[in-house]
Amino acid sequence: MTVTEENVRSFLLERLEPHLRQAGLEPAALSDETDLFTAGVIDSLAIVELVSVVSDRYGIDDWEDYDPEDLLVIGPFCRYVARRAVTDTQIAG
Amino acid sequence: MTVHDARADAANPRNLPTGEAAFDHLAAGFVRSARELPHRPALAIGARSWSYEELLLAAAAIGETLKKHTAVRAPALTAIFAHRSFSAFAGVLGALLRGHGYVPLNRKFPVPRSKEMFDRSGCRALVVDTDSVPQLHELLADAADGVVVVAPELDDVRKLQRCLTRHVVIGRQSLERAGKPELEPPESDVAYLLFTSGSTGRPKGVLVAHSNAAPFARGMAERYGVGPEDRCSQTFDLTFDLSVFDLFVAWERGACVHCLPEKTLVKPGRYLREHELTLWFSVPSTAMFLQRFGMLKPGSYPSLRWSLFCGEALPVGVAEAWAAAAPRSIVENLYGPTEATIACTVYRWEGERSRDESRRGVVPIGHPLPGMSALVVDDELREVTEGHEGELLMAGPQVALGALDDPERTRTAFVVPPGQERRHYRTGDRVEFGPNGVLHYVGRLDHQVQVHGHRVELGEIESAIRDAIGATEVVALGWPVSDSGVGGIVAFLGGEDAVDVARLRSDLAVRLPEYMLPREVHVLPHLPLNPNGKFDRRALQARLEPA
Repeated sequence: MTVTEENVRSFLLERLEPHLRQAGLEPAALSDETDLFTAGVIDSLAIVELVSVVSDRYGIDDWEDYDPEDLLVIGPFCRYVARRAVTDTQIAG
Repeated sequence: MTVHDARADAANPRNLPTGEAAFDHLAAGFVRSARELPHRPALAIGARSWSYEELLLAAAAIGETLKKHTAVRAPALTAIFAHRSFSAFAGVLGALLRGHGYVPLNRKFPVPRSKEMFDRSGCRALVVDTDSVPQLHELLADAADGVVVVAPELDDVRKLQRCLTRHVVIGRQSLERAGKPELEPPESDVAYLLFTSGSTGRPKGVLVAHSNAAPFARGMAERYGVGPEDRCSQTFDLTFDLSVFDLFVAWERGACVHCLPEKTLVKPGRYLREHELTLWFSVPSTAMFLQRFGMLKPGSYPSLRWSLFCGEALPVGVAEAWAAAAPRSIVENLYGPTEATIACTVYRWEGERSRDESRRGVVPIGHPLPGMSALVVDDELREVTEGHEGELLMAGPQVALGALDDPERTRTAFVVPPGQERRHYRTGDRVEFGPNGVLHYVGRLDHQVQVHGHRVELGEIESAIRDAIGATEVVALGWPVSDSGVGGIVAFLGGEDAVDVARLRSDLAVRLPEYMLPREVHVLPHLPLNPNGKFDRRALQARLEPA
């Protein structure tokens, strides 16, 4: 089973839907370069919550080599998760 | 208390080590280190670093410029409108070398909030970095003519001067040339003026003296045996008083201050390892973040000698994980309100013994630091006996001068309890006075919460919401609640037909810093009341608990 960047992106946008709605942002308006932290869409706690959920779902046990500057830029984040993913609990059941 | 009469009220004098200036000055340790170790690194931001000599010369140029342009009669305060930049640190030192206290402002706060702080401080001078310049026009909108704006990074100030026609703008080219300064007694006893969240809806100013902060920095440098080889973390924004520890404890002994970039603070593991930091100081939240990133594995941070936490409760699990991740370091939990100068009690983590001694999953706050004393009292300010809970009062040389222009708050918060002789600060924190005098943090006596170490009065948020939409039924809660504090703010509104939540959030964002903005807003037909006729906060919190 391969996790693609697209899989991660749709999961990410679904998870962040309430944050985007509160910030008045349409998912369609987001690009690869959108920085959700700098744009004030999510705070550091929300990033950490997201990282926990994503780690569990995709079996990532550490984020050692993830560049903090990419927190939380949509494209690099999704690519990183897709590259590191060893499973997808939602699909593997 | 005003800045003008602070001088007369300052608690002094004290025993100074020989060879030290005959007066307390927060920058004295830095100046001495710069004289003795001019070529050692004093400051690193990202990939760049500056020696003591470079930082001293930059600070002295700002100090001389302020001296030339600021009158003696104005409040002896200079605002620092700069964030995690060289000018921020040179500005703090420059203001202190001028003999002024500094007033940190933060461009991450809404401008109206910074403006209120600036206006209330009465500052007539300000140091600004390039990234904060866009907010200056609004910040100075109501200031009387002639504010001295020092912009040490700007070569060409013509554009800024055209925008600030009523004020005096001084750029890099016009800074005074300064040699190595001799430290003079400060013009003001105030070393810094910080604003904290206020329950009445306005930030509260706290005046901290050189005689409070300078001995603290000396004492902590001594306690941690800081030396020129140390590399110390700088995690706290200047608007948070724990930043005073970050800077002045390291500079006291010639160590290097490592300012972590904004995003790195969410995930500082790699920075910590690559720069081989020796002293770490942050809120426990940062450690919890690293835990979630899977980056508190045993042995991860062998360079650390000291791991210090402050600003919110330290959960036992975090202390244990950190102690294993930094096995050569000693973990200490510090506690203290701004009014008792940075930190006033400390507890050393010692594995199993500490695990047994901890209560409710939280590490004790320990014992008062040398020179400070703690008193745990009941409602009538009478001391309680061991094993009981009460409000924590602190006395000693770190108790601050008072609240800015708020005699009522100064009178009620700084008290001499019955049977005592010294002035005590009422922390508003409920603690348990445990066996052997160990203090355990229990909670707040009022509606104050800690959001990642930031002190937040829920009343201030409620008042902002009422102002924004005219609602009467408003409750703000800290949520989610963890062992260390709360993750953020959730608001409940009642009695409103239709609330435009996105609009409310953007209205609030103009007034409140990000960590005070509600992460969720729940609209109910009416808010529940408790038997006393007050909003039932417990019932509302229960609605947030998972079913």
